[in-house]
Amino acid sequence: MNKLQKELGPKGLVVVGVTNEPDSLVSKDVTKSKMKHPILMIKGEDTDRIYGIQGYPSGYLIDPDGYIVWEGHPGNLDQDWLKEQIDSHAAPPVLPDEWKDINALFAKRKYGKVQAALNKALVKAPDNVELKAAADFITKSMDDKLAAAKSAVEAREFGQAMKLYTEVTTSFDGIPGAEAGKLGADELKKDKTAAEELAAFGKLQEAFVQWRKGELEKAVKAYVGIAKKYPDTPSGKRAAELAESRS
Amino acid sequence: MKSVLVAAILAVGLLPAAGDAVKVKVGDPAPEMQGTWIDYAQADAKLSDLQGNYVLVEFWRTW
Repeated sequence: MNKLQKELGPKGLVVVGVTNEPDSLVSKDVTKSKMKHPILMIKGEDTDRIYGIQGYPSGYLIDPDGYIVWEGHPGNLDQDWLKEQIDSHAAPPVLPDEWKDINALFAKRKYGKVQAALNKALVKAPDNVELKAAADFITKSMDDKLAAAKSAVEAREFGQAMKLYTEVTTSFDGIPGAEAGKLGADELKKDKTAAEELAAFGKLQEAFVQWRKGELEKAVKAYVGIAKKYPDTPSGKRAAELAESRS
Repeated sequence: MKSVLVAAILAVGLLPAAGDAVKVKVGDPAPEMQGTWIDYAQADAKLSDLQGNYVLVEFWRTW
C-alpha cells in the first residue's frame, strides 16, 4: 500500500487505511510497519457492518464520482489495471505554493473562480507554463463535460445529461461557453420524451443518498420501486440491475 | 389484476430475504465513513471529503 501511494499518489490516488481499534494500538502498528498512507479512525462496528466486511484486510477502490469500481483483498488488486483507471482520469494540476489559494479553489471545483484567479496570476506571470496548463485543464474539462452531455442525450440518458449540464452551470459559471450548460438543461426540461427518464434518474439519485448514509435496505426498496415504475428508462434499468444483484 | 399480482410477486422477489444483510458491491455508491485522521486527532474526516480522487480504502486490523 505504501508503494501504491508513493507511485500513484501524484497521479491522484489516495490510499486510506480504516480501523476502529484504539488509537494507541494503531499508532504503535503504524510506526512498526512504517505505514505512510493516512489512517481513518472510526468508532464502533457500523461502517464494517454497512460494507459487509467479512475478513481483514478488505479493500475497495472508489472512483472520483464516489462509486465502487473494485472490491477484494488488497493483495489481489491488479496494479496495471489500477494504473489504467487512474490514467484515464485527469486530476486537476497542483500549482506551486505561491498559488496555493488557487489549489484550494480547484479542490472545491469552483472553476469559474479558479479561472478568474488564474487570469489575475497570468497578468503578473504571463509566460508561466503551470498557470497556462491549469487554465487549459479547465477549458478542456468543460468541453469534455459538454461533449459527454451531448452523447448522453443521443443515448437517451437524459438524467445523466441533465447532471452534466447542471455541473457545467454551477462549476464553470463565468467561463466563456458555460452558458451552453443552461441552454442544454432548458432544452431537456422542454423535451416531453425526456420526462420519464429525468424522473427516474432523480429518484435513483435520492436512493443513492440513502445508500451513502448506510440505509441500505431502504435504498434497495427504492431501487425496486424505480425499476417497476420506469422499466423502459436507462435509470429504471440500472435500478433493476442494482436490486436484482441482491435477490 | 393478474398482471398486478405478477408485478407484486416480482417486486417481492427482488427484495433481499429478511435478515439477509445487504452487501456493498461494485457499481454501488460508496457508503459514507466518518472518523478522525490518526495524525490529526482533532480533525473530523469523511470519506466524501476525498471525492474527486480515486480512493483505495483498506479495512484492516493490527492483529
